[in-house]
Amino acid sequence: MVYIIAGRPAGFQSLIFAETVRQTLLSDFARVFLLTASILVSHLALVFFRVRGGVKVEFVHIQLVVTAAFMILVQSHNFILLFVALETVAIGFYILVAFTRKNVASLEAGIKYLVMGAFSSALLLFGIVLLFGAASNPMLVGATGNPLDFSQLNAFLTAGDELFSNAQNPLVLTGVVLVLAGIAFKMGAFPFQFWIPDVYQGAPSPVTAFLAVSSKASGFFLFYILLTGPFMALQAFLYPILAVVAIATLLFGNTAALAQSNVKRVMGLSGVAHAGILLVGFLAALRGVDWVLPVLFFYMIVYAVASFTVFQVMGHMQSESDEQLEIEDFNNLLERNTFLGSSLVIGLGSLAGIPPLAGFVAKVLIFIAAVQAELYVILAVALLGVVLSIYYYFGWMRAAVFKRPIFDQETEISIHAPSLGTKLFLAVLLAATLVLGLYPALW
Amino acid sequence: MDLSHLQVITDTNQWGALLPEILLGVGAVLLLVLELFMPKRKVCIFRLAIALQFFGSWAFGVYYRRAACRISELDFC
Repeated sequence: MVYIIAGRPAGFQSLIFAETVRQTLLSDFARVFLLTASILVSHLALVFFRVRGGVKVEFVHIQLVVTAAFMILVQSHNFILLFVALETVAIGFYILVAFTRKNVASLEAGIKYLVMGAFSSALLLFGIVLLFGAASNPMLVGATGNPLDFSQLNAFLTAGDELFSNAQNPLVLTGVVLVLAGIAFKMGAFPFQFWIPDVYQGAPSPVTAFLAVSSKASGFFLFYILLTGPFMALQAFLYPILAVVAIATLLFGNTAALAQSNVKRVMGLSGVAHAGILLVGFLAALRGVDWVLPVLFFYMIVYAVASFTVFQVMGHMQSESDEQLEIEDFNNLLERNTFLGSSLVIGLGSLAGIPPLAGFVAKVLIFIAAVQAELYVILAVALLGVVLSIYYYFGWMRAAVFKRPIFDQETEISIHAPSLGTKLFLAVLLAATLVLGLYPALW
Repeated sequence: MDLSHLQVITDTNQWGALLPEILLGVGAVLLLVLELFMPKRKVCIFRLAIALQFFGSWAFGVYYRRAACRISELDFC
């Protein structure tokens, strides 16, 4: 499939469904990525429900619909389609986050996600309405009949003279910032990351993985689609805002993760930091370092592979409640189950960026791009973030490799032995982490 | 009532281009129906869902192979 996509002409694009859907190489890649992530989430969910007794198939029905909506979202070329797809995803997630409805933490997470999600949707919708109002105003130069279409909005934003271009219109600028704020929420970028720790902790593990990978990735794809499409004329205005957001995201994600002992909170907050690194790469791309774009997609793949590896291991821990899994519950995991223990170490190592794993290569390439783009301050913050992340990732790895249980053997959390299918899934993920690290030219 | 305007809009509808998404949506409903008839085969339905997603990616590949051939007449066509 990747071969087929790679075989497409570089500038390929297809506008279909009255130009509301735009298929490009990027959208093809995004669809494959989201579909693959969904397969891994389904498998993770099967393991999760088996370990906790009682498979609930409603999960997979909702998950399939959400994945389809994600895939349509990354092809949207019109704000109506974008909003409808985004809301389909959001409504599915409202149910999935509160899926274990007898669990108070899951319900609490569901309500928090509902409130925050409604807030972000309101921001997005308000931004769209402002853009619609401005771009369809006949008093302005280049007013268009269909401002919700990305191409027409782009034409409107580039219209105007030197004295007053539409890209300087305060109404337009407010609208653009609000739209991007609504999407930053999905991506978990600062200052819209505040929902992440509680929701990630309370949601069932497969849903947390789904949020961490698919929701974040689709947010990033949307960011890319909008900033290189309809909002291209505003790149100069948005650049300093994005730089501040990237720095704050990196600092917040890493420093907040330092203080956590709950593994799902660590994964959530480190995910915020990873969103920051993606933003650093994106800023380098805006500064003209074009080769970094495929690297960003490489980074997303690496992050997804490593995250699913860690979540697979977490899914095999038979704790009473999923949300109470602490780092110390992984004490001595390597000795208790060598396969799961080594998988955890490799997954965390890749997330931390330890050579020769794929995470290291991905981070180094983004940092080289930052140097070429002369983003020295942001690079310094990113490097500081890497150092901080080594502390919390290594703390977890240390528990799994070296630490002996504090209490008696009976108080240890028992480990569900992985089935042959799970071992195969994990083996593929581990092989991908190692091969992409040792031979990144494959990408 | 003149529906020619609608006709122009729907002329660009290529449902095949969204085959994987359609497969996922229809598959979700079919699995729901299947669950009504086989309420105790939950693991089986879960595995079917995973297979369906693999099938979705296969459909994606098949469609794009054809689309890529149509556009660029590549070697593998």
